[in-house]
Amino acid sequence: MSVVKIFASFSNLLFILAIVPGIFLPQAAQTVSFLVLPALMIVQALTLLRFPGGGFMSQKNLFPEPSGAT
Amino acid sequence: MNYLILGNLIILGSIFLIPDEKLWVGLVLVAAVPPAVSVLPLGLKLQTDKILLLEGLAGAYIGAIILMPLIGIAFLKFIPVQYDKLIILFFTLIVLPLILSRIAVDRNWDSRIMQYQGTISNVCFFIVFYALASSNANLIKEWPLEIILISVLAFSVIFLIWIVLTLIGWFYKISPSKIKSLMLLGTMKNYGMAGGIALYLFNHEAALPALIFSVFMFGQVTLMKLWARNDLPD
Repeated sequence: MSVVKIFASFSNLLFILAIVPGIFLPQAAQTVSFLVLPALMIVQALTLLRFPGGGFMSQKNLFPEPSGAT
Repeated sequence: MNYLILGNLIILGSIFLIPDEKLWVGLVLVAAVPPAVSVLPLGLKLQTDKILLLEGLAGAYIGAIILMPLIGIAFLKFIPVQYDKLIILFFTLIVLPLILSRIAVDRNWDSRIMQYQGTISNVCFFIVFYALASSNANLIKEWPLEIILISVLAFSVIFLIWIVLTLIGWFYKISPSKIKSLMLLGTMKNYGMAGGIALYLFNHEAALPALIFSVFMFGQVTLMKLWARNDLPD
């Protein structure tokens, strides 16, 4: 049951949804390629938000709930 | 751990296993990127040594500013690179995120944004991995030998580091929390970033190693979550 729960988590489902349709339905490749850099920029900015002023003093800020396979 | 062990093992393995130049470029990029963002939340789940994990992650990200260009110069000096794209990458992945995050922190938007941080990151990585998979769809369907070789490399590198760290921990009586921290830092890289850079700067074939490594990391993260669930009552 816990295996199913882990596989059915939002981040894992999104990862599988990215890979499998990416291989078998690649029609949107050109469009999505333009969004790669903005997406990476947002992820980088969000990562840096984990280190706010005085963030090292509060571990709660640095270790939020687990998410994502990446 | 991340650069010294994992990065060197990936480059060393790829020298012997991967003759294709485009895939080699992708593997060098995989070796050059810093650790995965998810090591922090996963570290919390696995009850790792948080300070060690944080120091390692921060050190690797600061070191990446110096190490990424150095690895590029050392291994990719004969590969033609468009310098305008490099400048765009520098602004998109370093300067703009720094400015945006400081603006958000100064105006106290960070607490509101952090509520949706997981969802936003997942959607962004969905875009990145869909782009990587769809741009390599034809190549993956052909299933060349290189895919198997990169898979063997990814599995063996992760497995080797796990075994060696477990043995070191057992032999020198190092606490499991420290070993788990080193395992996370030593086996997980930011493959989304590696693939995105490869796709933008080089070609879609160069993004394939990052995609293959990310599939193995997906398996590893799932196993670790299962391990954490078995270890912890909550």
